[in-house]
Amino acid sequence: MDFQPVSFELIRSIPLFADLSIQHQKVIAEMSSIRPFQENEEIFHEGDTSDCLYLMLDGRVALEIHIPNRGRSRILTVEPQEMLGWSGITDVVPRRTLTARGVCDGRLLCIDAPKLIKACEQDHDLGFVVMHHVANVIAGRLMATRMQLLDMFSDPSSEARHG
Amino acid sequence: MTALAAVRTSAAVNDGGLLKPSWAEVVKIQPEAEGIATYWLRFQDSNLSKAYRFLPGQFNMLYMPGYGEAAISISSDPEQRDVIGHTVRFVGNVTRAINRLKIGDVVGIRGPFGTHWPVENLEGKDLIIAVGGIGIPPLRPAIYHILRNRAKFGKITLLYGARTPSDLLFSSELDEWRKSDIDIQITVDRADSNWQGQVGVVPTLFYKFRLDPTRTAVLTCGPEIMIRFVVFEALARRVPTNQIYVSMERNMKCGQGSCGHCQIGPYFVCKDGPVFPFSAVEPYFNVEDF
Repeated sequence: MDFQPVSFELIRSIPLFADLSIQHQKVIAEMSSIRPFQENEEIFHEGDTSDCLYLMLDGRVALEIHIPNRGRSRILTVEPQEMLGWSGITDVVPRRTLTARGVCDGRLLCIDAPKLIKACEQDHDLGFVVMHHVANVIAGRLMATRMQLLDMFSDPSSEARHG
Repeated sequence: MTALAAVRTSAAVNDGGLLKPSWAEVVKIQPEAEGIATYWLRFQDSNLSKAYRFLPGQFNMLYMPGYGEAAISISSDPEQRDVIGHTVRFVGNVTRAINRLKIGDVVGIRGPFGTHWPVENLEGKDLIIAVGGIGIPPLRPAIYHILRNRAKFGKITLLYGARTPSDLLFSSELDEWRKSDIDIQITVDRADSNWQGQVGVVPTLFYKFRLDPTRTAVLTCGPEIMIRFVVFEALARRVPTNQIYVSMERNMKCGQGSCGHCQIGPYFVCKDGPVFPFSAVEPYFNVEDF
């Protein structure tokens, strides 16, 4: 994999970082790199250590889980400007629980997770903004997961309006 | 005009057909997905066929002798007068009997019933149409109306979710709709690695674009749990409650607000709905078993 350096201008242009100070944007730029990926390329695998927090710049990434005897099931896709691999900055989930695979060619912003955690611990203003964004991502994923668990499009039992 | 008045049907349509079924012949059956097909019906009475009118979002009661009636939304173009399309999911006694119909068989029709998507009052607005599963057929007539009057509307976004890629309905039409400047975002709950599209649920599609709440209306239909979260996302973006329109599903029997099977608070879904402004049903929305 070929990581590329990140410019401060790129970080400034990302809406997710708009509420960071210029100083904090520079901190993020210094600990980040660009990780290009290709269609069908595995970006990380279930069980890998979580050493990066990703932000999608362009393309589409699928999150998959392998189910024995059923193969790979695609449970979520991540689109540009969305976060990926939030487990990288949590203590509770230290390893990847899903496999991330490129659906098409694209690029990810890869933020070094240990460096980010350290920077957040040293500067709580930065820490609050980062954790606020991560909390929003987790809340959205939790809501989506609940709805998927409900299997809401499965056959209803009654003869209510069906069409 | 209040939002509730806007959805109420003003045109008198087929007044004689509300109590007594009129017979219609199956002229075409279009399989849409596993367990779902569109039945194209033509009234045997040619005068009725010419006179019959409906508005986007209304439904008919389809009558199968020996089995009973089922409320089925009309999924065809309101301007297409000779045949009427009903997209049916086969899940109950009546709809399973409909599944056994062949071309040339007859079915009884009562209707049209209910309120409609107030498309005529939404001109000039940006529209977000959020649908899931069998929720897209009730909105297809509204989409046809919008396509025919595309210049009168602002940005149109269709958020469409299904269980799996093979459950997506009207796939052959989606490209045509895109060509008419409708932004279509499709997502499925689950997929294998062959699916190149999005995986996730309809409400999260709201995360992917910005809207102007002062000029946006939301029209939504699908499983009630999906509607609840679509409304939640719309409200989070400050879309006014009277600019969010929901199509509710209840067990509809009489179609005229007499039997009470489909009551929600003070409303009968068959008569006062199925299309409601959210402002009207909001007090009952999170009440269990309503």
